[in-house]
Amino acid sequence: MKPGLLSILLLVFAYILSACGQNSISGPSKEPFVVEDQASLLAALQSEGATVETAETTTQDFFSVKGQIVRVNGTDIQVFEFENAEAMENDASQVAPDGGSIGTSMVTWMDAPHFYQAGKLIVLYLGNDQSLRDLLNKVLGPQFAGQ
Amino acid sequence: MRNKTSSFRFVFLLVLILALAAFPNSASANHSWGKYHWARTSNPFTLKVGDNVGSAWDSYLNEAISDWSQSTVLDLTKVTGSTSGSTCAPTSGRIEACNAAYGTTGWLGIAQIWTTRGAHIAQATTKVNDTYFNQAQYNTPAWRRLVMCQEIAHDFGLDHQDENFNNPNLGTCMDYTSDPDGPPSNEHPNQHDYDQLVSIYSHTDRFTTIGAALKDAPPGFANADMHAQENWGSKLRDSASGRSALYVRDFGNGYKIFTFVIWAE
Repeated sequence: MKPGLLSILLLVFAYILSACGQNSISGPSKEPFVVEDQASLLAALQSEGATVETAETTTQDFFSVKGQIVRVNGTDIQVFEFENAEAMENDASQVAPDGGSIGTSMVTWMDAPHFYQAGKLIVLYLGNDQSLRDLLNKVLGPQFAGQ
Repeated sequence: MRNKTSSFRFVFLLVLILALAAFPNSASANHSWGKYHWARTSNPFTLKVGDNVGSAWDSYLNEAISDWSQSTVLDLTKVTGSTSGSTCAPTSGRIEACNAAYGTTGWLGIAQIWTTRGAHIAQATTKVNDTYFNQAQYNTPAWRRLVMCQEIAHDFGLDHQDENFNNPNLGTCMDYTSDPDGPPSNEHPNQHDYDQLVSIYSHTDRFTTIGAALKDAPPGFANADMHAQENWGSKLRDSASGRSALYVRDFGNGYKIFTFVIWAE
């Protein structure tokens, strides 16, 4: 092998190593919040830069627990925290795929319903604000029911 | 070969035409809520609607009752309510219609049914939420008419025809919309709804859940004197200790009275 070609290969190899080194020494990536309950949901939303405030409670006939209204960037979402994930799943299983009915309750929503679940939470958002839906998708995963 | 191709095309077209004639998509109503329906032994049937609504809602309840009574299988009749707007407790064998400020629930109206022996509706409620209807956006005749019409209909087994708020109105109160008065208006039922009701209620049942359910029970069932042991019927089992026993008295047609007794020592 010619010395010139060897030098070029060494330079390329060194560049690749330095590039890898730069990735590995960059600051630690932001740890994603694992949403299990209302507290971790609020923390996750805030970590994404959202303004979050809790408002009044709400009662839905079709869920076995009371809900908490949370204002995210000025828009209301309903947060239902169950005793455990199993209890959450039990109620979530009653929600029709389109969100129009829950068990034997048929609902006329004010706006398009979007149901999310994570940990022991069911979260309901009514509306079509795409930025809020993107945010909820990011912290809770895709909706499990709704439009 | 050419003749064969022509024959094939002709047969294909004939089959297509027959298929379209057999399954016309525009007339096929299909918006039943599962298989839920009121059990009854004949058609048409009359369902009572308990009036627990305030004066602001009276005319809309009356309109909904009138609209749905246009159905060939179903008549609704308004009776005095037996609950309050805020409580809205169900009554066996009928619908209770209620209004109150139920809070910031996100729903304008909700219909709830209780079922028995499968998908047979035994009682039902309609609630309209004044938390929102007290706001200018929803405090309009069109919104009130749509929601009352829709909730009452859920109580006898109709689902929504469409759940997109932003597409053109279908001209039925069973269509989600952001603009209830349209045009076309979504304040009343349309022919699809009536067709669907015929489909849901085309069969009859061997029993009824309409009216006071016990009224249709076999003689002696509702007022059976179960204090005397001779009226308990046949013994199903004794407990191992002999301290308790289960008896059944069978009146037929599924009407049974079970008596579980724990004997005193």
